[in-house]
Amino acid sequence: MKRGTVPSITVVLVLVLALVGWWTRDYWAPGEAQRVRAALEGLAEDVSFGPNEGNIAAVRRISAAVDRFTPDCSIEVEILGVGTIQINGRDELQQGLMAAHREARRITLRFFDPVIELDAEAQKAHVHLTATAEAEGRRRNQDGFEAIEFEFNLRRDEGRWRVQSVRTVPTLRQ
Amino acid sequence: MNASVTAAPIPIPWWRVVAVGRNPRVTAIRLLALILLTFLAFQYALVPIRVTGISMSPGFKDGERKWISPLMAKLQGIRRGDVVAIQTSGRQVMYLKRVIGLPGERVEIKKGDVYIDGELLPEPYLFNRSAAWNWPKDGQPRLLGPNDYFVVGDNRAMPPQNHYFGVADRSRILGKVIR
Repeated sequence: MKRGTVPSITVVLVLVLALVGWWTRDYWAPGEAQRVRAALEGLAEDVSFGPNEGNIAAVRRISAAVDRFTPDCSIEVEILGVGTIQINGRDELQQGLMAAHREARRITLRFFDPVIELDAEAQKAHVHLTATAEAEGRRRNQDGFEAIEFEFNLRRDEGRWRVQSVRTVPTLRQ
Repeated sequence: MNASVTAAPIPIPWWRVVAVGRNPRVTAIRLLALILLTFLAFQYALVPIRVTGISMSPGFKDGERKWISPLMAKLQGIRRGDVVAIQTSGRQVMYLKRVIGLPGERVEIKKGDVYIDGELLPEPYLFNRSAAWNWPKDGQPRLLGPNDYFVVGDNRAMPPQNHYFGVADRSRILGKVIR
């Protein structure tokens, strides 16, 4: 083996290991931002449902989704062709999710590109993200796909990150 | 008689040739250059996208794959008729729309027809249009700011209330679609 080959391989190996460590840092030592991200991913999972979901499973899932919001939560979202939807408090949210379960056979909610900002005490978080919702209706012509930008405000409540407010961010101005 | 002795070259095991090449230093440099070039290419020159939805049909079909070029948008600028990708909170989900109005222009849509500075805009890329399209809602032409682009989808047979369109800031436009 040529002189200098071993140091070169060592340098490459160290670089590769450093990159792998950097990419997986959130897995080994999750920070608050990672916990906020996990809370939002959990919310997306709890709001989504498949075509074969039974009523008991739906109630359990909706309860879990509602529990991810603070009791004083407020949601104001603008949906194309529907208009502005305003929800205040967990009871209204629960009713809204039940209505969605009745109307749709399947809903898949996914969050992309979350930009997370935490306050100095890591008690509040502001998240700018893009959500996509794919819905399959129970009747014809009810299927749809939407991509909307949102601002989420979360706060630490009994040791968990819960959503306090949700607002639509207009990507295009009118 | 002079005898000379030269050491036979030590053969490099085949697995090492496969793993790191005959010269590991050159291989490492090539690998880094390749990673850098790939990163730059997919960040600035060509961004792959998959079209979802029907707002740009029939020109762009649901599920179709296309390429976006941020570099081309920088070099050529954004022109009327270009199809551009508009970023949301990041690059994973973007809106695909056609540029209709440019900075400094007055734009309005009356009964499905687009007027730029009072003149009717010919739109050969449209197959169908609904007369239900009117914009802005106050009926007055909208003057676009220095960084504003008015963008709309091609499927104007759709009811306007189901179609997302409006004014995009230049900073939101990632690049244009390569034909």
